Amino acid sequence: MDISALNEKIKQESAFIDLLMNEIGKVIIGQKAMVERLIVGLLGNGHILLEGVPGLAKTLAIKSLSAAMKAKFQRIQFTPDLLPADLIGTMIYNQKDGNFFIRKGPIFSNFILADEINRAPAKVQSALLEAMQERQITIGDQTFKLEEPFLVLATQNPIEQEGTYPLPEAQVDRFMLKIKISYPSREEELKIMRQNVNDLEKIIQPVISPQDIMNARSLVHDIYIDEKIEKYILDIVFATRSPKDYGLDNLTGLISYGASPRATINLALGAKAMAFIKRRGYVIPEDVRGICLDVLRHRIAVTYEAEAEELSSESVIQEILNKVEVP
Amino acid sequence: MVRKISVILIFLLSLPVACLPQNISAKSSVDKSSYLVGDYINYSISVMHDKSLNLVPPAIKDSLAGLSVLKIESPVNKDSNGVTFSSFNYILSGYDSAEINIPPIPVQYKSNGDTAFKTILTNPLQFLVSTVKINPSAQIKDVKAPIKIPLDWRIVALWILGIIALILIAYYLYRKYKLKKMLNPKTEKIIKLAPYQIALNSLKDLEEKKLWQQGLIKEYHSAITEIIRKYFEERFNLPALELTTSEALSLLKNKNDAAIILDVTKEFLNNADLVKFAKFVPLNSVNEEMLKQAYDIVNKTIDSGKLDPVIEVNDAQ
Repeated sequence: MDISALNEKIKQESAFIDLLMNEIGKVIIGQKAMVERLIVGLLGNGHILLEGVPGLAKTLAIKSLSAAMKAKFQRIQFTPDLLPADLIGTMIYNQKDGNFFIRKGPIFSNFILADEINRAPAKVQSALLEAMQERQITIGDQTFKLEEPFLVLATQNPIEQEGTYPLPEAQVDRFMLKIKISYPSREEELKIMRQNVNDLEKIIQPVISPQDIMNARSLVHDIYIDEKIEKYILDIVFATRSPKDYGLDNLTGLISYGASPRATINLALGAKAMAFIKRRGYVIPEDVRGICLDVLRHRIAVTYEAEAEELSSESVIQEILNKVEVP
Repeated sequence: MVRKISVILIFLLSLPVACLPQNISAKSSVDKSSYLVGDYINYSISVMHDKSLNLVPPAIKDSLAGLSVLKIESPVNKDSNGVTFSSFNYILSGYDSAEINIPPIPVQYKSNGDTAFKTILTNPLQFLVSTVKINPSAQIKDVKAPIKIPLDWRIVALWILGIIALILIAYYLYRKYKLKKMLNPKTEKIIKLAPYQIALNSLKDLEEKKLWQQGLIKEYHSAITEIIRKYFEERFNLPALELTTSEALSLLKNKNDAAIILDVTKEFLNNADLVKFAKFVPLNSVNEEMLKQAYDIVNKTIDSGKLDPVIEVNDAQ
């Protein structure tokens, strides 16, 4: 497709982004970056891991998103005694006719909020992550395709790590983005306080349908990504694996393992989704840089030496972005 | 009857006297009364006898239980006033702690007229062979102390001379090098152009290459933006090559000298982004305009404090 025509089409088709942002903005004060990345996850067909202290509107954000889309939403509180059957469903014996019937679990929804995913044992985490990857569930001898759009938003609390089951690196890699939520600004917090104290409850109206998202996804796939941008993405990912080749000698010995090819794919997809949100039919380096931290932060592990120097994966990524030449 | 008894008594009394050798005596001795395991035991048999008697060196091997014969020395005979002193010396050693009893050793002799050998016995000997006493509280040490090689002053002198020679050679080479450097000074003049001069030269080179005229539009836009970004790095001290368009513009806003070029830079970089990343094919006039804008950006931000090239003299050696 011609880029100008694609640009035009995207400008028309992406009009819902503003509607969606405005609708969610009725209840979520601030956290614009989080909402934007939720939409990136939706458009990029990826799942999101959200990390933030309690009370930062993680649950409210996804609830509002599903309400604005008129989509099915389920919240699952992960606890140590949760079983895979509680999540995906099970077969129940019917005494009347002497047969088993399938009772589907809460995972059969468009939006899943897996609250405090690290509080459930590995078998439950695996069941969820398998469903995320395969987008289908098998109960007994029957396999069910999950309804699209299917977005899992898992939350993790960075504090109170006692009695938790941290997600293994291989499973964390399945999340397209890991978003870290920070506290709102003073002005935002004032608005939050007034809105809640004065009981100004806002009702979110559905402004788009799941089908709109599906259409937008196909447009996102069509967004042009130039060879220079592809090379830039590869440079960033490869710099996480062998920093020395990119003049980042100071990072040698600080990265225990770099980003996987899944990171490359998700970085390209995320950049395309960012371009869509910005109403462009092509990706520019800003799109890559804008989403880079959220795509890579959970895919890079730093060594004990780096931890001793109080260097996080974020600071490593920032250093890489400052060094790799922008096309 | 009494006569018979007297004869028998005289015979019996005279019998031992008749059996004893005449003018010969034998004596054995050791040098100490106690030995440690493995010590040399000097055992000797001394026989004093008439010169006319011939002695057979005593065979002692079978008689020494618990001892080993290490060496049998040659007999030594000394004559003095018709009496001969024969001495037979042996070096023995014991390897077990025990109380050693050397029995009387028979020494055989005969006179010239005799046909058979007679025997005389030495005295028995008794001594102690004991093991080394171990002191468990003492420190472990070498059985034998390390051998100390005496200091040879000739070798020490040789070393000192060698070191002095090396120092002299090094000093000579250093002097030679310094002298050569003084006589033939080599310096390199580096003319460091001002950032605007580098940028203008690069833009001129790019213009002469006629890239967009040859259809290399994307390459042209990449090259022209790279020249300007490099110029920004040098002129405004910001890492423009590692920044996106919006990041570079945002940092430029903070530079007072750049206020005049903000709008043109924004248009310039955004147009280039369209060509570089969006397959946008601009009109020829846009390509020409890009070059004009690039010259404008440079010319409007020439640093008045850095108009002339800086000449740096470097020591080339």
